[in-house]
Amino acid sequence: MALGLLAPWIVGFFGLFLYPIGISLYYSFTNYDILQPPQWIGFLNYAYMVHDPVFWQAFYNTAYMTVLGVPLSLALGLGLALMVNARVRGVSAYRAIFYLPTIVPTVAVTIIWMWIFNPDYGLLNGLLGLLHLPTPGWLSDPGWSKPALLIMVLWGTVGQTMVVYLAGLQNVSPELMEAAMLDGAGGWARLRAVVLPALGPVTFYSAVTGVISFLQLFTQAFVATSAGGAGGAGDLGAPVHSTLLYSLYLYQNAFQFGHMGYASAMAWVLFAIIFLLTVALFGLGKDLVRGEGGTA
Amino acid sequence: MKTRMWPAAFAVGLAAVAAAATVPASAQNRAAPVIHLTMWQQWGGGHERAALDRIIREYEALHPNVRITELPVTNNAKILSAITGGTPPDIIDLGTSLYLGEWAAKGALMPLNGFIRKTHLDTGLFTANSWKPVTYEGKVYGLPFMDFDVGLLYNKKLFRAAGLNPNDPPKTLEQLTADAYKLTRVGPGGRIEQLGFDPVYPGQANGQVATIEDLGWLFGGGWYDQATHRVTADLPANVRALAWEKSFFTKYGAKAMSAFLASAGAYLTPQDPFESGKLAMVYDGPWALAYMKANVPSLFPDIGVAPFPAPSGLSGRSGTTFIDTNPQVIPTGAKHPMAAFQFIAWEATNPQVTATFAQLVANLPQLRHVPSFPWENDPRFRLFMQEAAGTNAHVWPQLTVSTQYGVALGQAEQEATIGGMSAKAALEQVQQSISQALAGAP
Repeated sequence: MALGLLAPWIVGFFGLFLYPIGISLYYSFTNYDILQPPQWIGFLNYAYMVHDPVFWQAFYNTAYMTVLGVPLSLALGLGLALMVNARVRGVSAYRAIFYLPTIVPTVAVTIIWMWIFNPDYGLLNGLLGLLHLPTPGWLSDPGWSKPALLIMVLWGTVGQTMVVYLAGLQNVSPELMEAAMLDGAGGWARLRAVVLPALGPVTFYSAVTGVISFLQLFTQAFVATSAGGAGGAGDLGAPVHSTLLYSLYLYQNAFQFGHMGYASAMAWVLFAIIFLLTVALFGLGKDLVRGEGGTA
Repeated sequence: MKTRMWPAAFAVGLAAVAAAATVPASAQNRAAPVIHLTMWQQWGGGHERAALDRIIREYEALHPNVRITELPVTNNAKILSAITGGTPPDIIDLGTSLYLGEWAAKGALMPLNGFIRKTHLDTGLFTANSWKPVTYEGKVYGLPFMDFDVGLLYNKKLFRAAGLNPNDPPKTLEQLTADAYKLTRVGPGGRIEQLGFDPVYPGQANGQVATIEDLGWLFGGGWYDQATHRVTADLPANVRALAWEKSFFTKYGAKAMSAFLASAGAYLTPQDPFESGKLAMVYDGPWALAYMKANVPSLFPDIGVAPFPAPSGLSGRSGTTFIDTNPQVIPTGAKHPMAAFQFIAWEATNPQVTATFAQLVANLPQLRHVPSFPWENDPRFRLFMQEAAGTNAHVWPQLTVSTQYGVALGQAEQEATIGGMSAKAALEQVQQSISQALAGAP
């Protein structure tokens, strides 16, 4: 009886979770094109990765997004949280407005951003033109496509970070703040000495989840380069591989080229990278977490 | 388009369930058991689908023991997993032959030669070139249906405005380049307001892997040597072709060229650069005429069509094009391959069906003789038919790595035009990666 009730979970866990994970590890050591049985080739997929220039390009693009994206997302999230933590009229409306982008479907938003980034008729270049500032080609220019992608991603995710920080701010001990104020600490000093340390665990949490989600970025770049403007009917990662993120190249190998073995190997390498980075962050984060009012 | 398809797909699914529920009772009255065929088609919804459904109903009336359910399925990953999983449809309309060889090599498609022999199908009914895109290593893997190719379409209004003779389209590539320059207007800040020719538009949107595919042949190059089984991406002629593409980006600036395209509306809409009168010449197919007629009827009479001109000294190559078709294939594991073949053979050799569909989608009849249809009376459309039947109609190499080769070539085109790489280096990169892939790298 108990087993019967557990069966859906057991089937789901083993069949749809553990089995695919295990089989992808096996496929990563094979040459597998979906149509023919996999052939064991040992570590060749992994060795090939080292010499695949496109792999490194995708790796670089993803690293670029993560290295710039995570700190920016933390800083912007904290900044917004501090702003909407103020006791002003209509503050909940502001909170809702900043959070709104997170609940809008990513695909729809990406298509709107493509219009905003339109080089000749887009909103953004229209504004920049009015101010006599340079008007880059954004998504159509290999030198600007990554910053454009970053703006798009940050706009959609910063609200989430803000909410987490906002929750953290409610936890800052009012006694400590009062004590600091009595000691004559100004706004900046209070932020540095009281608020930030108290927010340590939140920063740590946001950094870890941020790194993981930035390393797995897919949707925005996929939509922006496969929906395409007049030119690109399906140049994944266009222009010139400048937005070919790791997950995009993985997808391309698996579902366009039929290199399921290579794609599986790439997935495991990404998993290893995420795992190692998370372990490293946990090491670095010890001090951050201890900050929380001595309770950690 | 995909999202709009779902309600329709759902409705068809319901209809199929309803049909399945009612068929057994009536089937008992007949001698032959009813065969249910499924067909995955790439025409989507709309009037093409309605035409396909009419064809299917007509066939079912002639063959009371056959029931055909068609579904719009264009996702290759889905098709491949259905074949791997042993639950493929009986018929797939592939829409392109770009990966027909690749799938055939991996055993996903059934060779049709046996069926052709058994049913005494007269292959001579088809134009000779129609067979090129459906043949891999000497075997036929699909029946041709609705062929397509590309030629030069140009806007006579813009020719007149630039002081060019609208009835004298360029005869050499050098002349096309000179005309293109005259037809280009650059505004303040280097912004391109009107462009004579854009070598990367419409690119792969019209069925070729990239413009460079056709230009390589036009310059006397090619992409694969059947005799030596070698990839030939870096042939000097191919390099010259890509360098010619690049010259437009050097002249007007890569940024301005990209911005011109990025700012234009989607292909085959009234906002696309050619239909909106911002681009004077395109290397595109016969369907562009049909879209022009529907979207911008005022401009339609002023569209000229000519063979795409070759470089001087290679005049024999003028009118170079790819030749492709919508292969009607039977995937490995199909439940009723013979019945499936009988349907696609009837469909592909039926002159009336062919004429109806050719008129509908403005593609070329795969048959030598079909009843007259309105497009055929337009000399511009006929030019596409002549080119498709000529010796300058080429097929993209059918290899185990055709998809990857196509993507790499499109990539090289980008590297050279907007990425600042030399044409030679970009194509050498393709040569190396595709040779490796062909040799079995993962």
